[in-house]
Amino acid sequence: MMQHSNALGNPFSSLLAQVGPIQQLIFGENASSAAGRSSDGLFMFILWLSVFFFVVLMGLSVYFCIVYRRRPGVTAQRTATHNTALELTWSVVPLLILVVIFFWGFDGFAKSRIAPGEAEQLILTAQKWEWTLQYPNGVTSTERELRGSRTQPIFYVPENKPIQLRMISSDVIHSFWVPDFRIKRDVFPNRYTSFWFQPEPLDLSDSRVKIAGEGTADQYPYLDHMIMCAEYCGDLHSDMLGVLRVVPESVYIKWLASQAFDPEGKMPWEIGQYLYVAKGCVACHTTDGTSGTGPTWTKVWGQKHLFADGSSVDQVDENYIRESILDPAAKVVAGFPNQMTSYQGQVTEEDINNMIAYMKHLAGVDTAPADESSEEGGS
Amino acid sequence: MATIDTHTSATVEHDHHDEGSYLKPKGSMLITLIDWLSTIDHKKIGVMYLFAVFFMFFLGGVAALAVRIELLEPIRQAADGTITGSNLASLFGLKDYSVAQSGNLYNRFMTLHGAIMVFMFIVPGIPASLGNFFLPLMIGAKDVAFPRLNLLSWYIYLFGSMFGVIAIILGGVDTGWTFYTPYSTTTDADHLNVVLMVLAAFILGFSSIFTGLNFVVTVHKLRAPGMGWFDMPLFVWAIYSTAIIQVLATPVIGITLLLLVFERTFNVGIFDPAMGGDPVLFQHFFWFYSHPVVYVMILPAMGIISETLTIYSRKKIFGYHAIAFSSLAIAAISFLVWGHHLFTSEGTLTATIFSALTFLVAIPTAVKVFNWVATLYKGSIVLNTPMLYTMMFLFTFLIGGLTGLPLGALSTDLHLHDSYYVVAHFHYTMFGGMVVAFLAGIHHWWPKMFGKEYSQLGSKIGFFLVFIGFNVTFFTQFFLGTQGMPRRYASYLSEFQPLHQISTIGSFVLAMGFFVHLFVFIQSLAVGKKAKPNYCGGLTLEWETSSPPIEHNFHHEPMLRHGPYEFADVVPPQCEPGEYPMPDPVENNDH
Ligand code: HEC
Ligand SMILES: [Cu+2]
Repeated sequence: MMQHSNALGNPFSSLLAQVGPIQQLIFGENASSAAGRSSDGLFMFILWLSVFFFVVLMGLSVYFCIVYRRRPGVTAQRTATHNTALELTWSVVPLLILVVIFFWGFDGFAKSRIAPGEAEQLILTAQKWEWTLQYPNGVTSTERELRGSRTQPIFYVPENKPIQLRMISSDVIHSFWVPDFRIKRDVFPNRYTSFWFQPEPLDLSDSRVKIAGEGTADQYPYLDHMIMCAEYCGDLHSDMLGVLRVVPESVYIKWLASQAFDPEGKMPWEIGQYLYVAKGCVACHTTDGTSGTGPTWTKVWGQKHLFADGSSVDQVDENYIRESILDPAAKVVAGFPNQMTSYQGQVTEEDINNMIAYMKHLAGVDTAPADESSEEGGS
Repeated sequence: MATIDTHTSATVEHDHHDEGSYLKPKGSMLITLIDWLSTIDHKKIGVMYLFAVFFMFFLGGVAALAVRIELLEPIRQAADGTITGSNLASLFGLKDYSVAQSGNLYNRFMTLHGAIMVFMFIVPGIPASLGNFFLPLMIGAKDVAFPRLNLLSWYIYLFGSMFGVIAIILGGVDTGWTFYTPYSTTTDADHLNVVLMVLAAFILGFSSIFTGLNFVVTVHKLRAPGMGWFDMPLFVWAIYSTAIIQVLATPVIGITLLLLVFERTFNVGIFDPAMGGDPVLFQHFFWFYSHPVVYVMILPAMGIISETLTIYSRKKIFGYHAIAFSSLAIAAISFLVWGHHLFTSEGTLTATIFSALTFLVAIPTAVKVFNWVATLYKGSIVLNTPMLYTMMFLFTFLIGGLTGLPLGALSTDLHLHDSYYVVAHFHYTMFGGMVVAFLAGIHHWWPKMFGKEYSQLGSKIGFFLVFIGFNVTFFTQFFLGTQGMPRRYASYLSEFQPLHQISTIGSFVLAMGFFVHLFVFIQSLAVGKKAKPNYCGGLTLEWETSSPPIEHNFHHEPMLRHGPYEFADVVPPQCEPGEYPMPDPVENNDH
């Protein structure tokens, strides 16, 4: 059995805070936040209440069906066809119970909506089918791990500190759900919504806590929470996942520093490689030759491309790529859906240049480190 | 109310029974066919609706099985070209699927399943088929108020359904049945297809409005002499409340869907954030209709249950007025709760208000269940197939209702919203409510409609398969949801696989149950024994005519002489007094 803080500040929840095997069966894992435990407590309260009503009502029905089954010579008996006292009771009692459930639910809801003032502010961007988290120092995570059918972004967060996400979508509506916290919130294209949470202190007795770099000097514990998109958003909706990785604060700070990308002295293609992940192109394009939602980037540069409308280009050049990024619908590659949204305003001309360089690099055509785009033969 | 046996007249008419059956062919096959297709007889239209909605249910069911097969494996199967995906794809001529588009394939089937089941099966299902057939009979009318409009609404239904199915299958609409913007306005899938599908839903809306209008007027104007509002059978009350909701709410979805069409074709920008519109507005419009519609789906079901439960326990319904008024209360409150679909998107205050309103609707629903159970007390209960389904309804609907509480409560909903928990919950209320009651109703009235008995053994086998299959399929999904499985996912984390597999197995048992029922019905039509006019000892007016009813419904203008549920005081029409003996007149009674 896992440990529990009982200081939930809620008279109902503390009553039921003990986690039994049934609760574990239902939720799989214990909630990893105070708000989550409060909502699980309410759920269990409703569950036992429901079990009670269900057993009473179904028990009576089955009992009646057996005792009063039709037998020759035995008729139905005359009984009252209504009974005001009884009917009032069974209207008022549920009403009172519902009032309790309502206020309990409201209590947990209000807590999950109002973030403490000192919360760390991060910006979460949703797009088809990728979450991007921007940290206060401007970096985004480039770390990915295989989850389900493809690699997913890993977002580090410090333990035991309130964190607030300001969320926005760049295309359709998505919904940010962390099942372990028992909270989700929709992410809209036209306004910010917010989501706050406070990861619990890492507890080594929790079977989910793993150790990174075991045996080495800088080993540290971490706990992963899955992120899922819960609002249907198209083809790869079910691959729009992510991982919140709770780590000790010292590790978090080090990690943040390691994620900062310093373009100083980097080749343009290296910057392009960074942008490929940071701008979320990785959600649809691969760099290993297989098709994702979009065509792989190893076969973009210099190739002959057919389009859905029957036209074609003989050799992909910089202009074509630039157009593909800023106005993807203009030429849709044959065999692919018109799923890419325009990156107009989200990438600079310089970004585009660097990504072109990366595509050339993938095609085995490298550009010189200088910023002019004269090409050298494959090096 | 009068307590004398009033049915001497029925026996006089005995000789004419078969002559005027509405089913009697009018001549050669072709002429009969033309007669059916141009009929304005509410019974024939009801039967045609019955077959049409059955067919839609079959289509939607096939799509559901495809979805369940896909979910056997955590990683998309369509991706590596194994079993389902590619087979289904080639089945529909959708070859050359890339990895991403296989997700798309799943999404299409999910959309197909949802849209068919909601717009073409659940919403029109009971009112258009059983309602059409029995509403006029039960109030002693010769037909509905506007018979031609009735036929027209059948054709509109047929047209809208074909339009919709073709739009989804050929066009590959993958928006889900909810069409949320901006996904539905921006998704590519060849611009026209979403518009076509939305238009189909719009067309189907007209069919709903016409039928609803027809029923409202029929109930107001064509009741038999002597039938006051509170002498109406509860099934009629339920269909009446439903009709009112349909007439009031359907125009809203009509307008919403039209706006969606304008948005897509003319770029109006009402819902498009890029043009200053608000995508959530669509969700408000959508649920303003679609939530009341949840009650359009369930009220007729409750009506059927009120009939079967009383007839097969030979008891007057407990709390007639409470049940009738709770139907109206549900209809009224249902217009005020749409926002509970938006807890995760709305502001705090809005969400709070809607949560409170949602709990209000739970009360009349609970009252009905209590009343039903109380009705069984000291009855004379026979567990034939319709009654078994009635008991199953209590079972599943109770689970469906109770599992709705955590969705109405704010904090728990934040976790459960858009998860499999919701999928399980609404299948328990929609399938466990509407479909199960529909099955109860069909088994109850089948011999009345077609004049043939069906195999009790066969249909009971079907019942047990359906009962077990249904619960195995959907009970597991509650656990999937609480453990973090989002809905509408084509692939999932492998830890969910065992539960998904159990669910899929259940769905096949369920499908088997339906095939058994289908077989039993076909057998009944082919070789069934002739049914008696009042084989179940009912007291409502449909039992005063023959089975099947004659073309003009009644041999003589029916007169209401007793209430619909006076089983203790009236010998049922066309029955011998010994068949349904009445209890001794005992001491104190308050009715
Ligand atoms: C939502 C998925 C998605 C994302 C995210 C995405 N793309 Fe695309 N992309 C596609 C699809 C699908 C195509 C093929 C259809 C087309 O041409 O529009 C495509 C085509 C392209 C092409 C043309 C490829 C060719 O073979 O002709 C380029 C270049 C491109 N994308 C660049 C990018 C860049 C740069 C980013 C990130 C800033 C990006 N894409 C992000 C889906 C995506
Ligand atoms: Cu999404």
